[in-house]
Amino acid sequence: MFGAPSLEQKNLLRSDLAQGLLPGLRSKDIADLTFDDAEILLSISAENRWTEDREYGQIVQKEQVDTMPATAEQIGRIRELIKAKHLHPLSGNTLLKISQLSAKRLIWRGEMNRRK
Amino acid sequence: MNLTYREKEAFYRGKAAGIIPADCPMPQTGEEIDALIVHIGPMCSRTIGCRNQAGKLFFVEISVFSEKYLEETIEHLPDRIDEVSEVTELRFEKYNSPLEDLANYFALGPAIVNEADIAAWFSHLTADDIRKGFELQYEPKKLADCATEEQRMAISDRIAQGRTKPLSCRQWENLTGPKAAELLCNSGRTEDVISAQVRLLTEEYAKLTPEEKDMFRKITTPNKGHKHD
Repeated sequence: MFGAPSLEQKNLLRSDLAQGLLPGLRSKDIADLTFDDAEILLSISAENRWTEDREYGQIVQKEQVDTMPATAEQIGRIRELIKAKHLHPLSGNTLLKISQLSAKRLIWRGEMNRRK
Repeated sequence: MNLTYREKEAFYRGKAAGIIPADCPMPQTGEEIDALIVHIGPMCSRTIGCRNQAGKLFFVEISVFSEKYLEETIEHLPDRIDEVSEVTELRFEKYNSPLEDLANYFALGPAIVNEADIAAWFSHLTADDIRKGFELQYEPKKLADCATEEQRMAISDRIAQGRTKPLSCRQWENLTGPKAAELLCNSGRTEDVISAQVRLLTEEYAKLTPEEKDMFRKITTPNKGHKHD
C-alpha cells in the first residue's frame, strides 16, 4: 500500500528507533514512509529484538510505555511550555494523540528552549 | 486464482531460461505456485533499505540463487542500480513464493547473471541459458474482459473513502468488468459514488488520443523494475 503509515506504526517506529532496533534509519525518514515501508521496518525491528543484549521482555515493555498516550501531566506541561512560547503551538487534537515518547521529547525541547 | 503481472512475466522468462520446464502449465493455485520451488529452487531473498542521492530511504528486494552471491550483490548494489547511492544496515530476510523470487531476479537485469550463483542450484543450466530469460520479448496479454478505467477509478475512490475493502495486487490486476460492476453495485451505481474530481478526471481521460492514453497509463503505472511496491 502506498498510503501513509498509521499513527500506531509511526509511534512504534519512533520507539524502536530510540531503542536502537533500527540502525540506519533516521528520525526524519519516518515522515516520508509509506504504509508498506513502515511494515518492512517493523519486521526488521521485530527481528532485531532477538539479537539485542537486553532481554526481549524489557524491549517490548519499553515499546509499550513509549507508545501509550501521553499522560495528563505531560499534556499539562506541554501546554504550559506552549503558553510560555517555548514550544510551537499544537492543536488540542494533536495533543490528545501524541505518545508518551513524543511528549517526553517535546517537554525536553521546550525545557531546552526555556533555558536558552 | 490468477497470477500477478510480475508472476506471469517471471513464469514465461523462467521457461525461456530453462529454469521452468517447457511442458509445465501455468500454476492456478497457491499450492501450484509453491510447487514451482522444485524447478526454481529455494532462492535467497532480502529486502534492503537504500538511499538515493537526495538521501531518501527506499527499499529494494534482491533475490538470487546463493547466499554468497546475495551478500556480494548487496555490497555492490550502488553499482547495479543507478538509483541506489547508499546501502543502509536495514535488512530483512524475505520468504517469498518462488515466482516472486524469480520476478525479483529478472528485475535486476542480465548483469545479475553469475556462473557460480547458477551452479549453486542448477547443474543443467549455463549463464547463457539464463540470459535467454532476460532476452525474451515479453508482451503481457491483456485480460479479455478486464475492468474499464472508469470502473477502476470509481473503485479506487471508494477504497480511499473506506467504503470498499482494499484489493490485493492479485485481485486488482485481474479485476474483470463484471467483478468490478459487482463491487460497485454493493453500495450504489457508479455514477452515485464517483466523486466530482474522479468524474472530471474520467471525462478528461476520455478525450485523450490512444497515444496519450498509453502515455497516461505509463505515468500512472508503478515502475515494474525493482519491487518496492
